[in-house]
Amino acid sequence: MREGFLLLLIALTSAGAWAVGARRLGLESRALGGAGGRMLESLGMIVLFLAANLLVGGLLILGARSVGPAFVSLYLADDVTVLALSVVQGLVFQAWRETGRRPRAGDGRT
Amino acid sequence: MIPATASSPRRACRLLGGAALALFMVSAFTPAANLLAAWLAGASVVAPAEAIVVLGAGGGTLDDGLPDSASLRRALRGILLYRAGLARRLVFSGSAGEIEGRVELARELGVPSDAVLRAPGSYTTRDEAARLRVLLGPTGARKILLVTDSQHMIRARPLFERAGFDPLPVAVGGTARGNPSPEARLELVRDVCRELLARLYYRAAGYL
Repeated sequence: MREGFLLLLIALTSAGAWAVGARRLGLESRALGGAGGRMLESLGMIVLFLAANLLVGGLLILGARSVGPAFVSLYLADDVTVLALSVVQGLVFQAWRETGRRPRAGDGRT
Repeated sequence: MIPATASSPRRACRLLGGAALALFMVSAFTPAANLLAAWLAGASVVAPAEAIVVLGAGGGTLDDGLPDSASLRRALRGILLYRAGLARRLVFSGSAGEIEGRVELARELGVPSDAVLRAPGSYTTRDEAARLRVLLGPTGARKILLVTDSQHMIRARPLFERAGFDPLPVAVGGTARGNPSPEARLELVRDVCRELLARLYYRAAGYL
């Protein structure tokens, strides 16, 4: 019941967004596939950042355990903010990748 | 979906993103997470034992001194087992503050003070098993009712077996079957992943 409602809700707002994009903003429906691909790319980048954050966090904690006098719990890295900030990192990095590439030698010459 | 011109790192990112999205949808919108958690946790065994051991839950206490929700659930299960007459001793493990909150709760719910044992000062499940061996060793208690969350039981049970106990698992919480909302399922997946990683670490470190 709840799953069905949530999926219907997302489907409705997605259809609304498509209608606004295609009819009011003049966006091409064919470009939607490419946009989905870019979304997956950003999602993949977020997963990479999340994995890196958890791995580095775990190694830092294990390192601190081996050299420090006080016990440091591995659960320190188990916080939902790590996921939220990984989303930010992934999106920023992906946007940087899209827009921040240096021009190669010869680019722009006539 | 993936244009032929996409470079290999981009293609890999898309595949990873697609896999993450698929995993998210399956986890949130199907009972796969519940089934996986139930399979990993195994069944509880409630039978008479020499002691009831309630493991710590991260040392959390609330402003009013009561244990936080995970700690409280475990403590209540232990108290109910004691009240059902399944053992003569009730042992609380965890941080000092967490234990005192649980002891107070047990006293208020009719558990006599001399039946309660405290096992403070443990930071990890492995520590808990070792400390409880020292605490319960002289009493001769081997067969224990081990009370912890169902996902934590995956790691706790073999550790206690290795420490020389014969633990009967009593899982608290469960597999979110009673609350099959997507949010509860995602929380369950997170707990399962955390425990599987912890178990992997324990195996790599030679603790299991």
